[in-house]
Amino acid sequence: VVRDDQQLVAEAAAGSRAAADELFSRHWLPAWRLAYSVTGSSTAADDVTQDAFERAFRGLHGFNGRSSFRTWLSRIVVNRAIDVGRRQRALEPLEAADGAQWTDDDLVRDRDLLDAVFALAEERRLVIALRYWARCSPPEIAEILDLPLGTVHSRLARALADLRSRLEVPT
Amino acid sequence: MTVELEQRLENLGDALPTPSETARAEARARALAALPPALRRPYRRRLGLVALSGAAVAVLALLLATPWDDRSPLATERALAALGDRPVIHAVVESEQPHTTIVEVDSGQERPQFMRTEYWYDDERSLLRSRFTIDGHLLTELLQTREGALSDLGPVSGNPVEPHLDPALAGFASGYREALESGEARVAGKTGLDGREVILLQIALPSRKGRPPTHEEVAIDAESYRPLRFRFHFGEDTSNWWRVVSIATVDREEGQFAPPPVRTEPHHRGQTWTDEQTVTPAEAATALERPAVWAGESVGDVALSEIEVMKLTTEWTDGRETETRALSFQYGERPRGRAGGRWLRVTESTSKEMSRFGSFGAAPLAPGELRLVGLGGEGEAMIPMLWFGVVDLDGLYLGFESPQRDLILEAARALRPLRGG
Repeated sequence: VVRDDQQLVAEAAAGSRAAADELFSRHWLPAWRLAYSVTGSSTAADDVTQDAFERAFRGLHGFNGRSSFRTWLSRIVVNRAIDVGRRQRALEPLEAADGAQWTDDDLVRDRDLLDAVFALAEERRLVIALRYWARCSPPEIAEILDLPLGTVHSRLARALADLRSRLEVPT
Repeated sequence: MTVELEQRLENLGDALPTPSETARAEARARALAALPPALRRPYRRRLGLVALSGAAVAVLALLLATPWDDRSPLATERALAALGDRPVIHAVVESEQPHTTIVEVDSGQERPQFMRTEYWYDDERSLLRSRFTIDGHLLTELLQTREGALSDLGPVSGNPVEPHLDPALAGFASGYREALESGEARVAGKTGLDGREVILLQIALPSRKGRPPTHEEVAIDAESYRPLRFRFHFGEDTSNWWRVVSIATVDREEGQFAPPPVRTEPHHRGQTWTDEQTVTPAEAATALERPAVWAGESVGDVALSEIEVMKLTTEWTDGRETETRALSFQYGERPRGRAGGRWLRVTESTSKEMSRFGSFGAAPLAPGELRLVGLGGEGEAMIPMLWFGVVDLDGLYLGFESPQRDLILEAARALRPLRGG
């Protein structure tokens, strides 16, 4: 009755479409948002996420269960999104609003923040997106980006400092 | 200021755009189509004509032999009357597929464990409360409302360890009376089950956009018109049968739908395995916080191929992260990219939170007991393709994984101290 992702992966790999469907439902939106935050484009995020799920489901037997499904999927999404983003040169800051409804006052105010994030260097934007938007822990980010944990912490610190500086937020 | 910036970043994450339903539906269809084709159920199995359980054979054989006029309002009206007219449905149901099997390792004696679900459903208020037990031991509780779901682990949404209401049960609990009342329950046939004459009802269930059509099949007693069994059809898949132990309608009572008391102790949110290193048996012997055990150089005809030690990081619901070490013993080679093969993996750690199937919320195992779970998709025609075992051994927590049940049993029997040097 209590099924975590690992159990769903095992069930899906053993032939359960319902389990695969549940995995898809749980991870579709966070994966799409991660793809969006890397590419800055809804269209590219659609393509990346679709491709990432296809690859993940096709390779369920290659999933050894040592990382979480979320980490594994995020790694596929990030790698595909970087490829697509670089190929399409889609990282225009204004495109961050693509498809979004920025009507709430707070959100309008934070357009500055969104633009600042999208103006960060790719390696810094990635750690910000993974930490604050995909809610990954630093060890998970280290695994997704294949980086030492110390590098993740230092990139996060630099990215936050960079954002503060761009937004002229006092430290 | 950093905290404020971090909070703003998190808030911004919640406000990012959402994808279109079309993109979601297309991605879902392509993702499901990408599941390894060798594992998808052949067409004949979808019809349920292969390896059926005895009860289902009887049901289907007679169903196929008995033409039935599906305009039988009398049957559905009587079924509705048999349920009663009070506002809350109170039922106890059990899946016919064992949830787990407890094996006494030395004697080989086996005891299947069936999960029992007791639920209360108030249609008018859209409230469903469920309690899940095995042998009287409470696994978890769930309350579903229009606003969301709560469990004894906290809010279900976003909880990485989600209590999950089986779709067969969810469809029956919330759809049965409504379908009888609305006339949407259709009589599909008449047959025999456990020596009784039964009527088969078919209830179409609402399916989410982009998902395959679903329906519930309910077998009701032809004399009492009480439901006896139900199962669920999801697109091409069919669930196993569920048995209705008791069902009646009752009055509303105070506290009937109170949120389940939340467990105060933190539980794990997720785990990662990192820093894997291949080690020798002698190194493995002292790699954990206490002396390790193993099943030997081989299990049955499968030889040990690798021992690894790794760091196990557990993330907790209270924000803590704890680290411990774990050992993994791989016997045989696990084939890449396909199911099957003859192999076994044994993991062990001093952390009882190490992910082990069938262990969450379950009663502690007695010494010498092995808990087994077989996974093989839905429906009575599915033979488990992967088995998981759990053993607790004097402060060591072991997990077993193999396509072969016998390898897990043999490894559990062979466990002994791993001597260093």
